[in-house]
Amino acid sequence: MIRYSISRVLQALVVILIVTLVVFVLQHLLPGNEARAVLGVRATPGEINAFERANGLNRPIPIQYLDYLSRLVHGNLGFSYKLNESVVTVLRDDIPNDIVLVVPAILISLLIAIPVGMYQALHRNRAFDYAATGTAFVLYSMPSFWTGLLLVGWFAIDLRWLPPEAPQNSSGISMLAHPAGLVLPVATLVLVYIAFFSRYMRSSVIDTLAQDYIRTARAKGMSERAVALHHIFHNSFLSIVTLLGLSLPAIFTVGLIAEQIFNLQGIGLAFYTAVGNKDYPLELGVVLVIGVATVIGNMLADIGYAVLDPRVRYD
Amino acid sequence: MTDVLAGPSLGDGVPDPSLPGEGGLVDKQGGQSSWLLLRTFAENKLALVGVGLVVTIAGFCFLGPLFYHGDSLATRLMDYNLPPGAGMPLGTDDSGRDVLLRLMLGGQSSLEIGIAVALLATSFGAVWGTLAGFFGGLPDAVMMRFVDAMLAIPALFLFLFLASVVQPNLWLIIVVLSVFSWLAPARLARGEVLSLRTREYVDAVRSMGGKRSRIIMRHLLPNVMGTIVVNATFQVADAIIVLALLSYLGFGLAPPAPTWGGMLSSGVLYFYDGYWWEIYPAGLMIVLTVVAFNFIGDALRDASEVRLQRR
Repeated sequence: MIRYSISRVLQALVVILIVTLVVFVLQHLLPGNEARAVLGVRATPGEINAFERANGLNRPIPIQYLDYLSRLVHGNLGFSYKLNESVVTVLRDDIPNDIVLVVPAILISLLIAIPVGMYQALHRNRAFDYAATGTAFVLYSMPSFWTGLLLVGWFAIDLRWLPPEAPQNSSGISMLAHPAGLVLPVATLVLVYIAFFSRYMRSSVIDTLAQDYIRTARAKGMSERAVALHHIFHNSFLSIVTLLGLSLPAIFTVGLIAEQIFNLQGIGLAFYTAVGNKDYPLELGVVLVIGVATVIGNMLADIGYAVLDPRVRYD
Repeated sequence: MTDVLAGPSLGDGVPDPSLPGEGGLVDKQGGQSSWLLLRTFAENKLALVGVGLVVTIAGFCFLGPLFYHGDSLATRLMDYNLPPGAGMPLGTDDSGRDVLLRLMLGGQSSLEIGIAVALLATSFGAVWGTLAGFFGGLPDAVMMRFVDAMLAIPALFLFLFLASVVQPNLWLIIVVLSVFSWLAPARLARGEVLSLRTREYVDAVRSMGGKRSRIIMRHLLPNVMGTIVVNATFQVADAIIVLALLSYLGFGLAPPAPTWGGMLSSGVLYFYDGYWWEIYPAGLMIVLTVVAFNFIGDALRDASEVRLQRR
């Protein structure tokens, strides 16, 4: 177990190194040079030279990569010249907003998707299963921005039940004081996540149902209810938790769309604004943070899974 | 365990052993597996719906303009936001352009890009995964850690980053979408090859002095194709969705070109005014196309699993 955890951590470290390398390469693929981008077209060669020397941009590329790594280790993700703020500051301000948006959305969609998927699997090829499968397919196939915009159109514009944007004068936890504004953004995410989670839960339960230990449990006279609760739910729940770690990039992608539609200042919207401003350091900083978060999420999910499910043996 | 899931899409290796055609088939002989696959596929009603939809949509987009003439780019400034009526079955958009015609032409680029991405990404992914799985050891570790790293970076973010650097055109969009779509097929192919390479017939080729290239080209790649073709279907669906997202965010094909996502993003400005013909048709086309490819992919996967079980 400990050996597995250590090797899994080492593997994650290697992957994180590759992520940093990809981001570093992207930095250097940028047209023109960084000094010119920061100082503007009127900068003199002398000024450019001075800037490059001050920032180590005249050193060999491999050394620059090591410099970059050492800055990252010291918590320096770069500087957004457009916002005149460090990337870390921007992220620190925005990430709480993401948490307020994404965590409730994941919890709500799991609360709905797990029972629905389980019921579908236990009553396969019945009316409810077909209806839920059809709904999941349609929801999954809707472009998330269209889902969000339709919600705005119906519930904010036509029916006037809810505000069309996220709370604008508060951020982080204090947004919860204006829950009405969060309903539509969270609902947009929930509709997208549910389709995926319920579908996954359904097939995972079907897999579990085919296992010998389910037959054994039934054979020894365990009630269907007990089998469902103790064996099926337990095992499928574990696998859906693992899935969460892997879903982080998708979660951030849908997050970006929802933040853009409802003007919620999370890192998705920060990134989208940065794209419009050609604010490359901020863009790459966000990409790096999401990449690293995903790798760590996957690692924790794998280790957690191995701890919770003793049958799992890894090489 | 870790390679069960390649990414958060319905298609990416998420096991779905639901078998709508189950129980009804008896395989009389071996060697008929592709026939069996087709039959199992055809018994799946959702699959037929999917195929029917794809054929209809492709006919609408590619043959439609032959019968419904017009200029999709011509702006008629007096006739903007016209409701559906005589001569304009779906009305006009905010520049007086024919919505129905733009729907057809937008579909052409969506289908072309979706299919091109699926072909490029799955072939590259299949080769990458096959090589990694075949060689094993250090090359495998390096190649697959690279895949892990790319999977950790959300494709939409990287695409937007690239779009902020260069103005995307058709080919660039295809290439870049493919760059982020070959990861799932690579993992699937590797998983498959890991089990295939220890089979007797591979040992047999080796013992007869067959070259490694022969094992890969003649034995491993063809066997991986089944899994990969299924995945390609989902790739088409995913590419069409991402393409719509990009167009919506303003980073798809450059503006006058008709795209479904672009039509949606300008149409929603008129939600207040109730111009439904600028909001629903384009969205519906995306949903129908993506649903259709997902149905087909799902049915193909089920059918190939039935085939494997009966061999």
